[in-house]
Amino acid sequence: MDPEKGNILRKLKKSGPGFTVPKAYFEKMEDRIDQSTDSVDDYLQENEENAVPKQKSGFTLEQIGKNHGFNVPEGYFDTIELKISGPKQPKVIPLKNNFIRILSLSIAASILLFFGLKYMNTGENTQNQLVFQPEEFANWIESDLVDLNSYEIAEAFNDVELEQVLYSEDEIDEYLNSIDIENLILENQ
Amino acid sequence: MLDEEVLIGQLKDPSTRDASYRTLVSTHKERLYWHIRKMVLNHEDTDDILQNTFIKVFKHIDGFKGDSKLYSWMYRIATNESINFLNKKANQMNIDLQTLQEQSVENLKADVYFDGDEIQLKLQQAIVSLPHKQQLVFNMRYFDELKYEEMSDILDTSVGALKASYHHARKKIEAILVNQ
Repeated sequence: MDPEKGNILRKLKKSGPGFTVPKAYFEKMEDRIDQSTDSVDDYLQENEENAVPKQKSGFTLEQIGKNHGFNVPEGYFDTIELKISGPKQPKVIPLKNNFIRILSLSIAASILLFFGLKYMNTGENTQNQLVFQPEEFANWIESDLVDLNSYEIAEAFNDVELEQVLYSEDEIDEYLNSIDIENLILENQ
Repeated sequence: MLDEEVLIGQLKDPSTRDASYRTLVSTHKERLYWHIRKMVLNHEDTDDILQNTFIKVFKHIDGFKGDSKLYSWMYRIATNESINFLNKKANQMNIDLQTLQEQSVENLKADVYFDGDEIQLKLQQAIVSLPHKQQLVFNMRYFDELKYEEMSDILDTSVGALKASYHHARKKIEAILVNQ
């Protein structure tokens, strides 16, 4: 800091800001405010006509008194200690319990997800079933698409390795031996 | 009445804490209740705030340094709790504090725990029209008849400023009531 500037500031501080107040102004300030507070009712009464024109419906604090009109339920103060029985200690939650809670939530979420997906797939199937109406099957049969031979099927599904999906002769024999042929014929009549 | 210093000592001692806490609640419950009630007006809200106040007192009693009287400290906590509550409620309702207080006075008409007549209702309307600090000062001086020194301790405001504030509040209320 500039030393000369510092000297000026010191001088200003010593001489004060230059403002003055009446003698003993601060000493009697509290008394004045207190007096005016206590005498405000007298003041209002004395200046009633000039200060505030009072109407018929008007009233003063003295007329109201100090009753505020608030009530409490009967016996409220007798039971308050029971309601406020000391500070509520924070619950200690063991880590183990927390782990079990998270685990059970995870299991519940997995089950929900499983059934949710299952339901969604079912919904899709239902949609597909709705797409294939009986008359469409009838059209399909009428167009002789049922009567496709193995060559035609091979041509239509040329990207499928038939050997992989066809049963071996042994498997067909085993299957035919295991079922009741007569019943099969009856069912498909 | 139990000496305040003794009570504070008992509150800080774990072996006597619970019993002294009950003494503390018994001693101050009514004064604090009415202090809060005149700010929030509604009994149920007052009850919640009073409980929170005592819980806070208990939680923080170890940090109480004794710079002020215990009841002043409790009054201060109750005041802060009430102001915070009102601000939160106003925020939740998306209205300002003034509107909230006006609505609270309006609700007194149907409040079973308010048996004041029309004049007392108008007094409450006049009080909530004041700036918040003046409301506090007016209620504490007019209804609770606290000394300015006690109020100074609670509100952390000089005695002179409190006297001026009360004077203005009272003048405004008188003017409102007289003109109604």
